[in-house]
Amino acid sequence: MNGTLSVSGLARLYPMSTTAVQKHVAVLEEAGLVHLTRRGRQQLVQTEIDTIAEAHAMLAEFERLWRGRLDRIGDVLAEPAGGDRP
Amino acid sequence: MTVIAVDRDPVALTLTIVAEFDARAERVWQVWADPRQLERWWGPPTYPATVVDHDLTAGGRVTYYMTGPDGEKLHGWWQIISVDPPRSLEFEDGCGPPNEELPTYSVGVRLIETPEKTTMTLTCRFASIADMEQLLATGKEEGMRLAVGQIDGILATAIGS
Repeated sequence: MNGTLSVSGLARLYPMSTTAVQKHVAVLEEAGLVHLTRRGRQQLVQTEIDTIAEAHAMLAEFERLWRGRLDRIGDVLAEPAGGDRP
Repeated sequence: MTVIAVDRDPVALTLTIVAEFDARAERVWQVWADPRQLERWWGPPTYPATVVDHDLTAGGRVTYYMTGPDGEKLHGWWQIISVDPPRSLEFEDGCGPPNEELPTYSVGVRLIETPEKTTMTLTCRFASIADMEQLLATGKEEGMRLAVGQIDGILATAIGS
């Protein structure tokens, strides 16, 4: 699923009742994975896939930074003198 | 050093890295608590850090600058939230002069000693995606850009040889 769909439209795609789909959507919204809006009587579900992918990529950049630091900490700790400069 | 677990949570905007070191917790703590040791790992080799102030107490500050290959100085600071030697440390990591309105992110360090090793759990928390973007763009985290360059260099050498 990508983009925007109504809850009733989603229910037609899966062998589930509208109520069951609504429960699943509520869990996804709680997790920040979808965004809910209302249009008249219809409830629309919009995925936040782009935002999540962007956040994931940026976290990967910070992971790279910190892995470098952890490697260097390992080097400092590996020295017999206990990390002091000779 | 071995990284034993990484968790990137793009919804909560947190990064957790768990690493193991063959050393006692007291020894691992020193790499944070001793400014001379901190200088040796905070910045990448081409951007070594010089620690100016180092007050590792709740409410205290650590200030430093990193010197780039062209002599440019990048300033940064930590605002200490809590310290419990040799078990835990929490601080806000910021860049630029401390009173400027640039985003910060919080860093939590937790050390757990087992008979043979010390486990360090590092947790980075970001307030928003916009903050993360700005942190990456301001150049404070030059270690990342540099790391990419270093990897490219290594790959080029490997392919060329």
